[in-house]
Amino acid sequence: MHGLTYRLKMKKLFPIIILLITAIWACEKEKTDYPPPTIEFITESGFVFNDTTIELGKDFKIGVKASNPNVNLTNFIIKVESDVLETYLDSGMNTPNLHFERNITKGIKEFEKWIFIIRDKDGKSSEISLNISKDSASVFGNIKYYANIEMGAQNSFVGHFYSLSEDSVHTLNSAFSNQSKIDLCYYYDFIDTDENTIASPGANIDASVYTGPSALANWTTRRTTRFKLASISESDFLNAANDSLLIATHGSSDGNRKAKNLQAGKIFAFKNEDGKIGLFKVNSITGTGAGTIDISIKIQE
Amino acid sequence: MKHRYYIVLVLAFVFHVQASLGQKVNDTINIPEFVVTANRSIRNIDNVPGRVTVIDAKAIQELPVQNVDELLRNIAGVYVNRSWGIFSQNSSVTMRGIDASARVLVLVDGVPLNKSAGGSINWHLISVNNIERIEVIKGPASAIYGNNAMAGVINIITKNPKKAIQGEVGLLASSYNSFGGSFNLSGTNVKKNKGFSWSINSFYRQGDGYILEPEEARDSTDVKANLMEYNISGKLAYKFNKRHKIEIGVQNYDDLRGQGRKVYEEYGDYMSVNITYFRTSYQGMINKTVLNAHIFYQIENEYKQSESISTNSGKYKLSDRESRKDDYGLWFNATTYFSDNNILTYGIDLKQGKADVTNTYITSTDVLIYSGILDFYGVFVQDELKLLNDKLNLVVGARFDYAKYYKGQLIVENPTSNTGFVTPFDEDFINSKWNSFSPKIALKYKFNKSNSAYISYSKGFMPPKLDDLSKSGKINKGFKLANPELGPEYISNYEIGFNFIFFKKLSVEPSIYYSLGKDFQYFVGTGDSVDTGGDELKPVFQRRNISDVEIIGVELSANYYLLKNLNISANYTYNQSTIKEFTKPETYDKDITGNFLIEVPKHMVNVGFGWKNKYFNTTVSYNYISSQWYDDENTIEISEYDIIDLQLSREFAKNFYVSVNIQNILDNEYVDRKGLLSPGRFITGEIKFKF
Repeated sequence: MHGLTYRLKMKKLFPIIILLITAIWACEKEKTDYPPPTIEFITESGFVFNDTTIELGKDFKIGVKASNPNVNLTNFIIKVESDVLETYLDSGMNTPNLHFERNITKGIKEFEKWIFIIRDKDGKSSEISLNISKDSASVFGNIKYYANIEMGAQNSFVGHFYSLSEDSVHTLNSAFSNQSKIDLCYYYDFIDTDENTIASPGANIDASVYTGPSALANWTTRRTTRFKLASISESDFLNAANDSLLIATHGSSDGNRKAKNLQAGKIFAFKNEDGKIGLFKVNSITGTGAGTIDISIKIQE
Repeated sequence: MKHRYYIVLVLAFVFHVQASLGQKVNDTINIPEFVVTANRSIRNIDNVPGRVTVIDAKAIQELPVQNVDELLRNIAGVYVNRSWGIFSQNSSVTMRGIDASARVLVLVDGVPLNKSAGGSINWHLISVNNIERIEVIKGPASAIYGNNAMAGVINIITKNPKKAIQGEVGLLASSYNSFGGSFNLSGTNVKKNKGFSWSINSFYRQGDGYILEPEEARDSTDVKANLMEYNISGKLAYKFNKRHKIEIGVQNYDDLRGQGRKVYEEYGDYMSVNITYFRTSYQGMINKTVLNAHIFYQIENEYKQSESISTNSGKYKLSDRESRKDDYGLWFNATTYFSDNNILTYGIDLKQGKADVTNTYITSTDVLIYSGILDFYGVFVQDELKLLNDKLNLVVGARFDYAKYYKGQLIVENPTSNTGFVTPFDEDFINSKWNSFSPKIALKYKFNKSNSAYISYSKGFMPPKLDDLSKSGKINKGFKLANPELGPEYISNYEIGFNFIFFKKLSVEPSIYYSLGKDFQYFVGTGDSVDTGGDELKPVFQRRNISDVEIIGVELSANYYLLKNLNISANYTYNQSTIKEFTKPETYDKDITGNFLIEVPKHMVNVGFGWKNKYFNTTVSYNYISSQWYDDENTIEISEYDIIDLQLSREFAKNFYVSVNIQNILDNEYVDRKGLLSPGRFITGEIKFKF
């Protein structure tokens, strides 16, 4: 009798178990196989969209449109192929459409193949490319040399800001009055990876660095200069007589808005908002928040 | 005397440690308990020369907890770190002044759950509703358990049915718009020691969660860390006769836990884990030998989506990680009762751990794949002797473990600065092997029925994790390099403890231990740098066996059964865990000798109060955790905190059980090591119908 009751109770249980198993399986999702994204050049006036020849150091504008209505675009890559293949841009996103425009400086290479790749979230990709050749009539330009510029960190009495166009050091108040001319600023950050930093006013600089009514947050014009660590020697820097080394060192890609963790002997390539390419070399650094930095600069005329 | 002991042994075996054996009566504390974990077969707790704590079914029902690991907060020497409450990705349970949960072995019904890949377990796998009791063995137990049993062993014993059919349906609702349900149905037709037992358990829980980031640090990407999880398990046992039993257990757990950040993706930053767990256990008795065998298989499939946008540069990153981690093995042990005074336990354990991980960077082209296999083989023997007319218990044992790492592989496809590789990479790692010898000697002297003392020496070890052996890639502070030659770390523990019972109402259990750790695995710079695509070369880090540690600890537990329905318990833990010797790589600029181990609070206090009355059963628990270090350099300190939890419960009309559980009743705000907020006061109401 006990066994029969038990079997009857067990019988009632089976539908529940089957229901649970079915519910778990039902959660499986189907995946659709969508076509890859599309990508094309912007063909409006002022854009380069076919193979062309450009003078050394001159800017040209490229525009690209990409889309995928089914799967969001997640990665846009620009590669430049000359004697080696280099990545110019590798950018993440999460959007159905991309509209990209960029002014690019013609590098020192005789021939460059610019490749534009768009990838979507499914990992599918499409690419387009164009060839840029160096104009054989190109000549290297003259440069200016500013030696031993002394700038002070945020707590120093020495000015913290520098104007490349005027070769002049400014205090915070003076820089505030000359915002449209300021390209560089120097400060000390107590974060290990930053410490001695030369940035551009357009960079994201902590509000505690420069304070008061002339603080960066109150500026109406904040110019952006971008920096890239250079792997050239001090003698290469000193021997540079025209802008060939400057262009070659800077390359085609953009840099960051801060040159961090500066130490004596380090050299950075930069490009300011006027498109002038240059190099700066750190000669010496003393102190921290109230310290100073001594740099030398070579920049296109 | 000999026959009486034998009869007790057989009875205990036949009933398979029924709950009644482990329970204390309410008003006195002189009833002996039985434990199965200390020696891998049933023993009277009075004969175990070491510190063992049992949480019984009654305590499990009455303690104000939401998750299994929180039950362990009430035990001296155990540190439970579940800083986001039910929304935590996982919980970290550490013991005896040693950080990292991989250094504690966790068993369910005697079967190991620790994964070879990361070393720890997923605490959400186990439902509080399905636990009969928890046994905690403190101090190294590698002499009998091998891997991971470095700081201690936690054995979670699940419920067994007692009636032809029984069940329980529960519904709960909690803070942050959380709710859930549980279901349990079980039965047995065992008659004359023959027949089937079965059970099905399930629970579901979901919640909107809360914003983890403190208000002053929030930005538009901070969202609530939500939760959705379910668990279903089944157990089928067949008893052939009073001496032989076989049991099959199957379990599936699935969750989705938000990480509190969302940029573009529907679920934002989240992790989803699916664990399938299977075991078959045999328990038998042939003549005077008790046999235990477990075959187990655990598969963990994990999917993690990471999404972030830099507030400085505006750079958006999206990546996912799919991993499969398998652990399976065979554990066998036998206990031969040569006489009333001589018990020999011996066995062999085999286990294999595998990891296959694919990390895809969706906002770049990188794909990083790594894999590896770890095989473990262990043999052990332990002898227990009762001397001086059962006043003196001596345990001597040793275990030899051998492990082999092979098929380690790392593939990096289409690398960019995101992974730190400059060119594609495809390399098979060298095979490596190591062994470990773990002895133990322990002695317990019973002055009388109520008072005893023990002294012990034991050794423990933790194997290297597959993640450290096989995984290379960019990390926050630089670049992590796989170390296929990483070896185990060891600890030697010297301990003395006392058990006193005064007036049959007050028990006091002090313990003092001194541990020396050797070859601890530390994450250090190799002195090399790699170009990970930024302005600077990034330092290379690797997990290495390079430091020796020293731990001085004191535990004091007291239980006072004031009245029949009123008891008070309290415990205090002191740990001073320091790095005694740090073998600094030549080019590494930091020497952390003398520093404290991370995530080890120096002081912990727990006070519990339980009162049964005709209105509500009331349980109050107070926990104080002192400050602890976040980083090896001891520059960032996590602040101290204390919390008070309360549970009120009552049974109605025999079938209904209602409870209100309030965690962190004073709403004390504290942050975890990442500076993220705890949930604050968390209220849960639950109703259960039992039949």
